[in-house]
Amino acid sequence: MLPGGGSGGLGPGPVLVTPDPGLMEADPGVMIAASSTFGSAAHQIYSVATATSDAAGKLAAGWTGKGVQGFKDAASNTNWYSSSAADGLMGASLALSALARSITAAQALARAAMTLAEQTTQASAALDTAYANSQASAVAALPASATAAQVEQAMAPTSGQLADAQTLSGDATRASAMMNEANSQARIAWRGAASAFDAVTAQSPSVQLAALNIRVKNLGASMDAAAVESMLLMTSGMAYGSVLGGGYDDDDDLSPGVLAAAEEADPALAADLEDEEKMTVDGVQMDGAVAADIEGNGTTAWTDAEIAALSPASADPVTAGLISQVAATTDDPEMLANLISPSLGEDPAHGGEFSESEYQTALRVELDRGIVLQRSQDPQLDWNTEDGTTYDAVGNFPGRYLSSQWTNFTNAIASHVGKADYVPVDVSQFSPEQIEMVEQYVKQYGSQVFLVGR
Amino acid sequence: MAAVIEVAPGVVWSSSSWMFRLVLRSIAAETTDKDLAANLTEIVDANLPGLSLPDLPDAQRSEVEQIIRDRLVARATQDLPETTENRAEIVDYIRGLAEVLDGRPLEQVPGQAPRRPDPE
Repeated sequence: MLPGGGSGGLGPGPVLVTPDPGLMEADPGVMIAASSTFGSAAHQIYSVATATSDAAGKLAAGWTGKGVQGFKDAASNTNWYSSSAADGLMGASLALSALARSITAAQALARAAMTLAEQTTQASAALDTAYANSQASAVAALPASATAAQVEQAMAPTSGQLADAQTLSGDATRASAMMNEANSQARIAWRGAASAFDAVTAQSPSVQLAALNIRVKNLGASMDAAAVESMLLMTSGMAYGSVLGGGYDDDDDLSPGVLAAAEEADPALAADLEDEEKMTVDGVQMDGAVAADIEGNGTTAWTDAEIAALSPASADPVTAGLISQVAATTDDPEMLANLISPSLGEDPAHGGEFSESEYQTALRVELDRGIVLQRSQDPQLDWNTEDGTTYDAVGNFPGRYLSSQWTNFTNAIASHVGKADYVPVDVSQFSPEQIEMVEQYVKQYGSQVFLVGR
Repeated sequence: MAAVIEVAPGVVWSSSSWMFRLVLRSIAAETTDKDLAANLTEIVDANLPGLSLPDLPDAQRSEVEQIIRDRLVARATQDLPETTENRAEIVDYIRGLAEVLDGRPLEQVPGQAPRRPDPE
């Protein structure tokens, strides 16, 4: 049977890859701007908390006036609550910054996938044409008395055409895997940002409204309608019953217009929010020392150079995207160094030779589990956590091999279930149908075997 | 990553993938069969989870079995950097592949593939 995508051709046919709705339209620049706003707000609130707990501190002098008094009142009621509000806003700020980086990486990967898909589609069509022409020429050259075997031979593709078809088939699979990874990265990034916003919902009413206001103003322009709708749904519970002066019904439209009305109805709240956004106190620029303190604790964002110094210099966009996601989970340099340590993908048997696929899987496991892995000293195992929990992964190979490797694949899972505490199965290069098949198979092992990379 | 070499139907030698790659590269370096070497290299390059000896053509399977029995340990020892941690344990584990091939009793886990007992 000839390879090919149908219609008698040799090539894989049209290669269709589709980014998730909203991925390509998202604007990382706007997210960064919103991140800075959240970071500033967070540090102001933290400063209030510090001031209320240490009246003699230098921050107290710079924080007077009606706007700040509202925050002080909230902080005096529950001081921890004010601090946690700052943590929440800082978390939202970091999440937005991380979201911007992840979306940038995902967009780059998605564009690469679409380019490869387009190139493969064109090359497939060209191969099909060349194959049809060579068939026609070969058949035309046959004598009228040609046997069926001679005709069949004339119709057969050349070894070069078969090799091209194989290459194109691989490219088609790769394009699909790249787009799956891009969409997966984007979904994980959105979920991370949403979790950070969820944390904000547990905090003070003024912070909630400020967060909602800032978010809607700054992000509304960067998302498609579906994304905006989901964010508004997520935040509707946050504003309900918690906005100063009363609550909204669940079905209320939390549009910027409604928020503007809330500000109009409460001038003190509007003044507070304006101070937050402009880093002023009752309209006057805040104390220089305080401003410097806030600036000095601005939003943390890892630069490419910082990340490159800690992780392998990989040109693989999938690896780069995963590193970006991992980097977004911490602002601690030592933690980041451990999380993206090249040793996670190094091969002890070949002088530390780097295995890209193994490294990618390690990063996916860390992201999925929220853990820090290190290379296992046990030569039979991949990684362990500091507490000794062991992990031995399977997968992260091209889906076109899954059928022929099924027995080895399942044997590898089964044999390592008895050796490691957990066996992650990396399905990032598999099709949705293959992932479903793998998911069915691993059910028998319960939580000990879990999928990553989908 | 986990990997296996199926030496007979249902009988596997399992290892970490880097040890698996060491074994396959050693076998590829020892064989004169270019197709076999290419096949093994493809498994390594594609990060595939295993090699099934029963699936190989007879001549290739015999070649692989002979290398595992006679030359694999020496080759792997030569290829393994002196500085490798747990080097002796690794070599011993690779030696176990020949023992599995020659029918050393396997630890059978209910519902799982057979595997060689862990080294003492």
